[in-house]
Amino acid sequence: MFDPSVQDEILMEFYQNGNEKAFEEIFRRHKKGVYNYIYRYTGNQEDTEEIFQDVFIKLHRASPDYKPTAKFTTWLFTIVRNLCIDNHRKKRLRHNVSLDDTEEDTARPLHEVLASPEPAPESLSSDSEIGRVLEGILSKINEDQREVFLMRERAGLKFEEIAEVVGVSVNTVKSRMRYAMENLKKSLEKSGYKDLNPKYERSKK
Amino acid sequence: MPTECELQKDAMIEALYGEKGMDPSLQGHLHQCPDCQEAFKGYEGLRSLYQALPDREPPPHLTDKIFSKIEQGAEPLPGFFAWVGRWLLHPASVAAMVFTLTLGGTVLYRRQFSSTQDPRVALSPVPEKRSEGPSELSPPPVVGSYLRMVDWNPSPRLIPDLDRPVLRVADVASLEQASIESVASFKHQVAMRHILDGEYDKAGRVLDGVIDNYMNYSHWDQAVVMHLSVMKKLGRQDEVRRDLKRLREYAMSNPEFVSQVERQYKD
Repeated sequence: MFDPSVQDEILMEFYQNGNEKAFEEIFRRHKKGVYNYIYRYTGNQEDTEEIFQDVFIKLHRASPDYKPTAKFTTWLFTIVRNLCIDNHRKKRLRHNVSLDDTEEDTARPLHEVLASPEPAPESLSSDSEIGRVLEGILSKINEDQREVFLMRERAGLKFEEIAEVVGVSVNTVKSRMRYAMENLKKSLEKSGYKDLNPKYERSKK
Repeated sequence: MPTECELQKDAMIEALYGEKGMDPSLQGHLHQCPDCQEAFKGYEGLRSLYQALPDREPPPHLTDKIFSKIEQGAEPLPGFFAWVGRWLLHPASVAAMVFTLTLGGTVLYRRQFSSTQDPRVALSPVPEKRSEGPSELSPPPVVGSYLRMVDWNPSPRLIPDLDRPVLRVADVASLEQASIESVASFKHQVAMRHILDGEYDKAGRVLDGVIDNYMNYSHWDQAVVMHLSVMKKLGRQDEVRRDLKRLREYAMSNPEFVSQVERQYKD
């Protein structure tokens, strides 16, 4: 077990130099964040498991190329993002379904989402109705907005770091974040959830 | 023309995530615009709602799968890395590294001690003192933002010239720079150990890594000079020329030092 003060960047150096425990520590530190990011991005358990495995195997293979001048989480989420996008593209090709041909600020409204034949994401421990609805909406909003929202909320990256991972300007990141929040909010409201409070009850229409 | 409300939307997002404090113009706007006030509350509510969603644990079978795949596909490490790995795994080394990191990083040869405690290698000419403060590749220094760095020589075994723990103090502009210093100077010491053991090939490889990957390292010039002397010893004249070129182009030391090295190592 490494001391928590040992930064991820140093752990990667250790791993590059053959210390396997360092990789185990990195896995231990980031598995939950990565898993939940992928789950909320894909909204699908099967894809999540596949991508999750690929992320850490890729991390292992790419570790010799890692340079400690780059922040580790930025590098990690670049890998996560690329694998999520690959998976999304493969699925689009397979099903010939376009989920993200909309413009930046025109996500599908919730009533369409709920009417969609695709199942809402499985809920392992989220029992609340609102939780399931929010996860359902999140997995359907515009891909660009979704990744920015999750990188900020789930991975805790700063807007500047997100800009680096996604390859756009910080202002674009902020705009996408705003559109994501507005679309999520609108979709929840259309579904009857007016009062955005974690403990709220579904309001009567 | 975007409305005032439009203009304030990104500021709301920044304020929401604490990346910038609530700026007075946003505060003023929220005070007089009920729509934006409501939007801001909505964003806050959405954040609380999202954060209240329970996290999922990755199923344990995935962990086993990942590690068994890595094990199956893992390539053997080159000898040097295995050696360093063993060294790093030594509890004393880990403790030393943690100690160093806790205090913020490692800095060798900095100005306070450069004249009395440099662990020097006989092959390398002694560099002149570098310019004050971090290199120009580092983040620009801000008055009052320097971190006071303390380092302890992690292993007297690695640098026998220093037979006792040594404290060195230096100023570094950021934690990022501290972590670069910490790793690069560690590798620098490993290279010195190889030189002292007469393992010049290994030393060359380690120094190559330092030179290529840690341009911001405060002793980058010294690492190049050390590499150069190793290459000279190995008769690798092409590498010597390359190192001289590197020094001419990127060295932060004063030009006299670079000329001195050039005179010493030219054909």
